[in-house]
Formats: sequence, C-alpha cells, structure tokens
Amino acid sequence: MEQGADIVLTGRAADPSLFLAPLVHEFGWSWNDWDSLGRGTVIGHLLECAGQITGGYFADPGVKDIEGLADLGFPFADVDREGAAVLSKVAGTGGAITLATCKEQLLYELHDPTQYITPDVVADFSKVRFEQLARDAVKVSGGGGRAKPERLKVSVGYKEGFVGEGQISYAGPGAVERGRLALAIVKQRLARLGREILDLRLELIGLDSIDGNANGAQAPREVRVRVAARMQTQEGAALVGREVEALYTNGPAGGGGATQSIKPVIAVVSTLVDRAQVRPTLHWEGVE
Amino acid sequence: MILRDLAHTRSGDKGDTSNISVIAFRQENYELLRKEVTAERVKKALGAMVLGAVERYELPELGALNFVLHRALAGGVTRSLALDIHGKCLGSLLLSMEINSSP
Repeated sequence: MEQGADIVLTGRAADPSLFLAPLVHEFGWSWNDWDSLGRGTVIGHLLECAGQITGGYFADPGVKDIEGLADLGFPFADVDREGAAVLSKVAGTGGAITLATCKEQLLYELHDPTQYITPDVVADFSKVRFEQLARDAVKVSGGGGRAKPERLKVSVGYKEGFVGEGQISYAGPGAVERGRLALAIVKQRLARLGREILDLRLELIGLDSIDGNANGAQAPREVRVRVAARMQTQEGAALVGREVEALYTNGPAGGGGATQSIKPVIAVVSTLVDRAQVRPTLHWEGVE
Repeated sequence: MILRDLAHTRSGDKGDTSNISVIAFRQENYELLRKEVTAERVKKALGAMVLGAVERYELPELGALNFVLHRALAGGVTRSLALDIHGKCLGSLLLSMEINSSP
C-alpha cells in the first residue's frame, strides 16, 4: 500500500488481517506494537463477517427482533490512532448494531478470549468493552495483544472419496415410523453392495438430523429421510441416492419428493509450520 | 425457566471444535448463568453430539460465558456428513436448557 497499490489480493490469510493491514498502514503502527495490533485485530474480527454484526445470524422473533433484514446494511468502523473505534452502518439500511450484536460477534469462533491467535499477533479479547453511543453506533475499546506466534497454521487439503446422499419425505400419522422403516431398508441394502462404506449417516430431518439427542417426544407431521454415505468412488456414492429413490416403489407407504446428489470430498487437516519456512512475495499487476 | 429467557447464544466453528457463547440479556443475571450453566451441564445437554471435552471461559465484563466443545462437529466442515456441518444450530439447541432461578 505504501508503494501505491489500489487493490491488494492475497491468498489464504487470517480474516481480521484484511482489516488490520490498512490500519497499520494508515496509523504507522509498528509490527511489534502488540497492543495496537491486538486492538486492530479486535476491530477486524468484528467486521470480518459483515452482516453478522448488523443483525444477521442474530434475529430470533419475539426475543431478538431485527428490522429490515432483507436490506441488511454492512458495517464499517471509524478507528482512531489508539485503536478504539465506533462501529456503524450506512444510514437507511436494515438491521441494527447493538451491544448484543457486538458481543455475539466478538465471541464468534473464539476459544480462549485471552489468546486469539493470528499470524500478526496473539490478541486479547477478554477486556474489550462496548458502549452504545447512539442508534446503530457502538464504541469498541480495550483489547490488547502479545507477540505473534513463531509458527503458522497450514491447512492441507486431501481427497477423501465421494459423498452420496438421498432424501425422501413421509407425512401424516405414522410418518416417523415409516421414515425409520425407510432408513432400515436403505441401511440393509447399502450393506449388501459389497463396497466399503467409509462413513454413514441415517437420520430424519425434522426429528433428529440436527439434534442428535432427540428422542421423538413430539412426533412431527412430516419427516424427511436423509441418508448420506462417504464412499471411495463416485460410482459407489451414486448408489446411495439410487437406493433412496427406490423407496418410491419398494419402500414404506407415501414416500414423496426423492432427491439425490453426489459430491467429491476435499477434506482439510491443519498443522503448524515454522514461520521461517514461509516467504511472502509480492507481484504487481497493471503497473504502468 | 429456560436459558432462552436469560441469554442469547451464537455458535462458531474451527475444524472439529465448536464454540458457543452464552450472553446475558441483563448484566444482573450473569452470576446466575455462571452458577447454572457449567461446562458439565453444557456437555450433558448436548450429549452424544460432543465427543470431547467442554471448556468454559468467563467474560464478566460482557456478562458472557464462552464454551469450547471439542470433537463436536463430526470431523469438521470439510468431511462431516451432517446437514449442519458448521454446528450453527448448536447454540440454539442449548437455549432449551432448564435454569433453576431459586437462590
């Protein structure tokens, strides 16, 4: 930016770093001024998910009401040299910035609040304070940091087969029982294919697909059977959806709306490497 | 009384680890939350979905607790077969936890 770049594109970078870099540039913060870097990281973290601090991922009618979500405004921060900021959004847009939306976003994807680890700084979120100055204007202050880590996180992607999935719905009295019968049929059929099933999930959407502990105390009016399996090959994965579709004619009564899909799995494992092994380089495009 | 009457939650994910923040609507209820919403109770409430340990961090100035749930996301976003691969719904499920408000 000091050399006049209009736009900086980066590969995978820590989300708050995208906000921290222009702050360091503008205020001339030193790269070992850990408290300033920590405060800038707090601001970056609050802004990095855009609508998640202006009322997105927040509304809960009757408990946490947010108006104008269809016209949700995105946030911006007016930051001072000391790293305090006022969070706001464009006038006339929907959503809201309140103490509650700010607290939720501060703690989002956070583990130990005293150690939010980024490649730039280990930020301390534990002493951050918020103050509502006006409607949709919240002041953020406090926060600090300690020396950046010696090692960097590296995410390694690897191919891990294919996931085949099938779904079909059942409704009315006995929907749960018919759904469970459908799952049992598909489970038996898949076991007979003579292919290795690397991972398998059998569930009823509307009953226990999200809440793994649901005991079906209240039987819903409709359920959707979902079978997902990871297989070595695309051909193997395709069989999962076909077995679910076969439930139309060969399964319980009244199965409707069967769908199926296949997708390759690129799994990710994260590890740490010595910082010295990573050498950042800069390429200029469109320079006259 | 259930947790939803006193607090709001947000779920986040990093790999196979989920975090759920529990934030008091009113600062004066923070102590009650601190007493009632323990790591043990959160682990019990989410049951079989959380295979690993649950840790709790306290943020008294924000009136908030932060729970870190290990091995809670069926291997993580990239390889989980779950519908909710990020565990975005976990915090909402926690809101049904019963809270004993008598002193």
